[in-house]
Parts: sequence; C-alpha cells; structure tokens
Amino acid sequence: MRHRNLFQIITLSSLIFLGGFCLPPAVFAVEEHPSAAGRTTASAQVQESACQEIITLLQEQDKKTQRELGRIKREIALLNQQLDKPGISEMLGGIGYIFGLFGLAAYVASRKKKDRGEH
Amino acid sequence: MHISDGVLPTAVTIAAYAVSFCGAAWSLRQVENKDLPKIAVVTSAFFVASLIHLPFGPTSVHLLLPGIVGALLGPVAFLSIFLGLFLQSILFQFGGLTALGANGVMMGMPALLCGLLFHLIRGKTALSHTIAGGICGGLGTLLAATLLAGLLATAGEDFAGVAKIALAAHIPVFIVEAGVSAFAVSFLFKVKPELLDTSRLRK
Repeated sequence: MRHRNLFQIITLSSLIFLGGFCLPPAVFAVEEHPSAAGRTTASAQVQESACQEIITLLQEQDKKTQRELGRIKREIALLNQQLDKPGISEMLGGIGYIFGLFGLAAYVASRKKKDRGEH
Repeated sequence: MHISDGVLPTAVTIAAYAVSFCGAAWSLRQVENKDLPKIAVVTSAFFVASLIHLPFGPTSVHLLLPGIVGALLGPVAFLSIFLGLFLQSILFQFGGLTALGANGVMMGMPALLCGLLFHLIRGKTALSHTIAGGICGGLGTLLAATLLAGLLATAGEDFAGVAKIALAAHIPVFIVEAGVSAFAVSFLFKVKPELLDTSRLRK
C-alpha cells in the first residue's frame, strides 16, 4: 500500500516533470498557430482601417478644395464682370470727349463765321 | 441693348454701316451752330444713360433714351446717337466697332422717327408736351427692340422668338423710359421751352 502510494507519487511527479518539459512547447505549438493567424488578420484590419481613414480624409480634403475652387471661380467671374463694367473715369472721359468734340466744332464754326464776317 | 461683334453676317454689317454713315452725314448737315451745346449735353446724357442699371427682378435694365434724344434734337439725333455709341464701344466695350453700324441703325432710326413724331404731336400745352414726350420715349425703345429683333433675324435667329424675347425683356424699359421722357419734356417745357424747338430740316 505504501509502495503503491510511492509509485503513484513518483509516476505522477514524473509525469508532471515530463509534462513540464513537453507541455509548454505543446501549449506554445497550440497557441502559436492561432496567434500568428490572429496577428496577421489584426494587422490587416488595422491597415485597412488606416486606409479607410486616409481615404475619408482625402475625400474630405478633396471636397474642401472643390468648394474652395468653386468659390474662387465664382469670385473670378464676379471680378471679371466688375472689370467689364466701365468705371467713373471712363464715363467722365467719354463726356469729356463729347464736349471736346462739340467744343472743337463750335470753335471751327465761330472761326468760319469770323472769316465770313471779315471778308 | 447692343448687338455684339460677330453676331451679324458680313453683308448686313456693311449695309448697316453704310446706312449709319449716310444717316450721320445727313444729320451732320442739319447741325446749327447755336445748337452745338445742346447737342453736346444730350449726347453726353445718351452716352451715360446706358450705364445706369436699375435692378429689375432677376435681371437689370438700363435706359436707352432714343426717344428723348430724338425729341430734343430732331434730325441731329442720329449724329448724336452715332457718336454716343461710338464712344461707348471704344470706352466701355459695349457692342464693338464692327457692330457699330448696326447699333447706330438700331438706335438712330427710332430716334429720328420719334423726333418727327414729337414734332407733329407735341401741341402747345404742357400736358400735350408731357404726353408726347412719354409716347416718344416708350415708342423709341419699342422701335429699337423691334429693329434689334429684325437685325438678329438676319443672323438666322428665329425672328418671332427673338422679337418676343426682346420686347418682353424691355417692357419695364418702355415704362421707365416713357416716364423719364415725359418728366424731362414737361420739365424742359416749364423752364426752357426753346430747347424743345428742334432745328428745322435743311436740304
């Protein structure tokens, strides 16, 4: 009975001992496979989400630039329109031309009159 | 209301130039020396009037003044309008030089007609003058819009469609123009009636 107990203890302890040697690699072997696969899928997921983020950022930026570009185009069109509109200087210049021309005509007419009067 | 460069076919452009030059030359012969200041002032007013834009709904309208120019200047109106349009085209880029002849015909002919009409219907009283001024003001623009449609029709546009658009777009202008002309004529009749006596036709 005592021997048997001893034997049992020895076998158990040896098993445990052996188990200590064998199990960890086995556990690792068991653990390593799923962990490697998990890591690759996880990193792929991380990469994908990062890509998505970048894409959304780029899209947002694109939208912003589009909006800005539209605004600038509108402003340019407005400016062009304003440039087409004649300013006050052109108005006054035109009036000046008209008065000048008619002044010249009046001068010529008065000269003619004078000449006729003298002759 | 200006016809732009390159819209009309060449033959029409040249013909319109010929008519415009004849009109301006004939008009020039009617000028009397004592009228020179008046012509200058009216020409300046015509020149500047098209820059005063009044917002109207989605678009804006501006005065054209062929009627009142005709009423005030009579036969000299064509010269005045031609000169005004010339300066507008070189200073403001309105219309353009090649279309100047067509624009001259478009605005000058109504002015001459309105001048004649004003002379015939103005009567003697202030009221008759005011009414005549209003009629001439409205009619000048109406005729100009019709001529515009006619000239554009030679460029292959659908005459009826363009005429309708031109007339519809200028309905507010007719009204404003008639009001402005009536006011101007009644005012001039009160303060300086001799300005309304246009120079007589000379052969």
